[in-house]
Amino acid sequence: MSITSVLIIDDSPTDLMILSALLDLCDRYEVMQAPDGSAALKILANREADVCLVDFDMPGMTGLEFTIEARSLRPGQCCILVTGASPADLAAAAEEAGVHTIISKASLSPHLLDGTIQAAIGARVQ
Amino acid sequence: MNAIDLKAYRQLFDEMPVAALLLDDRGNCLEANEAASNLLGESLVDPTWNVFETDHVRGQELTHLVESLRTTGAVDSHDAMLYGPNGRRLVRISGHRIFNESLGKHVTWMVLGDVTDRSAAAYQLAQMNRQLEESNRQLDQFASMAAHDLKAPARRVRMFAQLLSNDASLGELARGFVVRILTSGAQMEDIIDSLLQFARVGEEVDDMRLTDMKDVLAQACGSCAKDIKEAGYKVVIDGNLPIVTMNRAAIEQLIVNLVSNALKFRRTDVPGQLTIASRTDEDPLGNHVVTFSDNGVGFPNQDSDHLFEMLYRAHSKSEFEGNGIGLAICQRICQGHGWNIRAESPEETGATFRIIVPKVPPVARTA
Repeated sequence: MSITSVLIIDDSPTDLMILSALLDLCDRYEVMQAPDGSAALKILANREADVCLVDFDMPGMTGLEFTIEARSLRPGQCCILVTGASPADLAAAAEEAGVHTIISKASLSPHLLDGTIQAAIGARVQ
Repeated sequence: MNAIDLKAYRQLFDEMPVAALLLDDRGNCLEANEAASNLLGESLVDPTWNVFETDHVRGQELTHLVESLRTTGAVDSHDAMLYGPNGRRLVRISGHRIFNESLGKHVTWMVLGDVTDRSAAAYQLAQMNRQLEESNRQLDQFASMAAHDLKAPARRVRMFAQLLSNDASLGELARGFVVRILTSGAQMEDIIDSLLQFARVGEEVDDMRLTDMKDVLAQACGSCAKDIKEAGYKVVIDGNLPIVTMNRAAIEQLIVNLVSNALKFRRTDVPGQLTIASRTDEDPLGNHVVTFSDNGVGFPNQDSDHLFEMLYRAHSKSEFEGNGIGLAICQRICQGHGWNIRAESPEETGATFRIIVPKVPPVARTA
């Protein structure tokens, strides 16, 4: 099984811990963490990440703003938006920013994360 | 008019509880009853008294009014501040300038009603209403913020419990505790979501449009379709649902809540059925009466007044799941629309929710 690199960006240390732990359970992800968009962009400047798992509501740079910046830095960068708000409310803005998928923090599980990330990578390969 | 009539009219004029005056164009008072003298604190029917020469402060508004009557001819319910022996009084004045044939000149009659107390009470009531609205607004804001801020920690508790449940080294007792944390966490999230929904209902009532309730019902039933099918439930529509002014999203929520309520409190020994009917002949004012009648377990009659209270439950949690917020949301939606919702369970078998929808659209409540 190939290892997928995932960069998680969330200003909540607790949510970073939860997302990392959920991905660890899937046993096929190399996880990197960043507490905000700026720190994540610095990581992306030095190395690739197959997928960015980015929180929407962050101070300084929102998940959507990060997606635009990340895709400018690395064209085609796959970003999945994670939000505590209603995904439906963000759908149009997320699509415009180039977000691949939105997932709700309320429905997170190893199965959902794994399925969403693999589908996103599959779509990029095609 | 004979002498008896004249005497009776004189008595009526003298003793009537509102002040009445008859003035000529020069400002002299031809007639004044006792209430008028009491109100202004002066002996009015006196050759020395003249409305244009009366004390500037005490009768300023009265003077202006009589001057204006000379050109306009009539005044109706004009509120003026007068100063008399009882201090500053708010007086509602009506008057008319007419030509009196027997006197051979124009005269002006005026009636002055003291509305100070009524006005003070109305002001106090308006102030209390403003305070109540502000208090409700703050309460909504608090509920919304509290629910929003509780949402993330509640979700995190459940997520950590979920992560913990994957730990193979957990003993049976610890695993049981984790399951309880997961269940309680899910309940807490459900209550928080409902509280947020309750607080947001108040924000939605502004976007009111003329909408066919039939379309909203179809959409609401569509979103409950899976639950309706799983419960083997039958939903029957009887009569034409009204086309009325509403906030579509709020009314869809109202219907979803009522359908979910019927599904939740269904009996297990009979096939469940919910009949949604609409009539205009039941209400004496011809308003639309939309009813949701099920054949479920119903509720004790003494609960009908409390059923829409926040967190009230007619049945124990062990009998039926739920957080006791759904019907409170229903009532809040109806109140926001100027509709009325009541619950009945005549023989404690089955429940009927009756919604009175005014035929004339009410003015939308301001936020």
